[in-house]
Amino acid sequence: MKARRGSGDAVAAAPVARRGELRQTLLLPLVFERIDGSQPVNVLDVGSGAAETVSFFSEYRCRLHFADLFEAPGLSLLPEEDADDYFDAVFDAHCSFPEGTLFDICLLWDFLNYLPVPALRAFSRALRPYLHRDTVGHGFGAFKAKATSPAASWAAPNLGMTYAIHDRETLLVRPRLGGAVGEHPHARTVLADAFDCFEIVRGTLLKEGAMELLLQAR
Amino acid sequence: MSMFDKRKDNEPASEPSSFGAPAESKNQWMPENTARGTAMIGKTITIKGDISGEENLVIEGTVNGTVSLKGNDLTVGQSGRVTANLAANVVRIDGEVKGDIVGVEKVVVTKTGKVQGNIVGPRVTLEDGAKFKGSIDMDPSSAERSAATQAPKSVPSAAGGKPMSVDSKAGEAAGKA
Repeated sequence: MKARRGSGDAVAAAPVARRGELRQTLLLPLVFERIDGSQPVNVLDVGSGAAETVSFFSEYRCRLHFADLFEAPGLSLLPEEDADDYFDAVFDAHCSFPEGTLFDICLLWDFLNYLPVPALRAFSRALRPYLHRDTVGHGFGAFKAKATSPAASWAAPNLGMTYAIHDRETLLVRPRLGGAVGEHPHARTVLADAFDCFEIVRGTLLKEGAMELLLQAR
Repeated sequence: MSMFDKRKDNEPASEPSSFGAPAESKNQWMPENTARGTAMIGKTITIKGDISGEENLVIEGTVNGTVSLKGNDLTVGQSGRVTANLAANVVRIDGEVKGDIVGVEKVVVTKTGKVQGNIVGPRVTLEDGAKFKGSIDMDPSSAERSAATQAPKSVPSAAGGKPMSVDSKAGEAAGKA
């Protein structure tokens, strides 16, 4: 399979890099390989609309959903009681899509690292109706929760990064503008248990204990 | 076979366009069908209701309702504040829109643009700095069907913060089931 744009496109990438950092992704290409292109593709991006991501998908028959969940109020709170109901209500308000929507690709970025376990479970419940058996996901987690430090370059939640697809093998990572959300990096086992609408089918260890994750709906 | 082995069509990926120009160069933009002129809703004008017509339109004021310009272009200027469903040939957003947007040819949200709603169009461009929440349907067939059927109706629940629905035909095209 040919890359749409080569990862060595340094000349073209240079102006972009001044506004962010280009980083290689090992597992995102696998997401696209798993997609059957005979039908329009439904994509969920839990971030806000990024120009590069839209540009990347603009050559294909697709429908992009930008949920902007990073900006959803209330996610960083952890109520002492009725956490499940609380987070169900939060995601009901910010994560409901048109009836019949089924996502083929879910771009989760590092969103899962911002959610306490009850919120992870609620997010899983909210997302499940919109997944089908071939839905694939991509995101970043932590190999061990304690290993994810503020210095971690990929998945450190408190860095507040935004992600966009520059090309199949490269992401554009920028500092996030706006309010910060809570930090709850989870070990892989915790993530797999709480975010059970997806199965982690592959994880690649990155520096600073972060992990790039390839997910498959279950 | 992966979707990423094939292009949607044989056209260039992103052709240069006057609509891709930065907002500062707005005055240099000339619509293709200038023979029919361009109407403008000025900054101090507020309209509540449905707007339709067969000429280009620039909205610098406030519009609550619907805007449908068959075969013509629509620009929501930097001072434009629109709570409406919009349908036109080419739609350029420099200001704020809450509602669904159908662009038969193209939709451009510039760096000063802010959109909360769903966009349907074969070519959609978000410039760096544009703010967008909603869905983007870039299936050409969806745009054609939407334009053919759209008599924009009620403004969706854009202000509610939920992702909003697109017309049913667009949904059918995008749905996997």
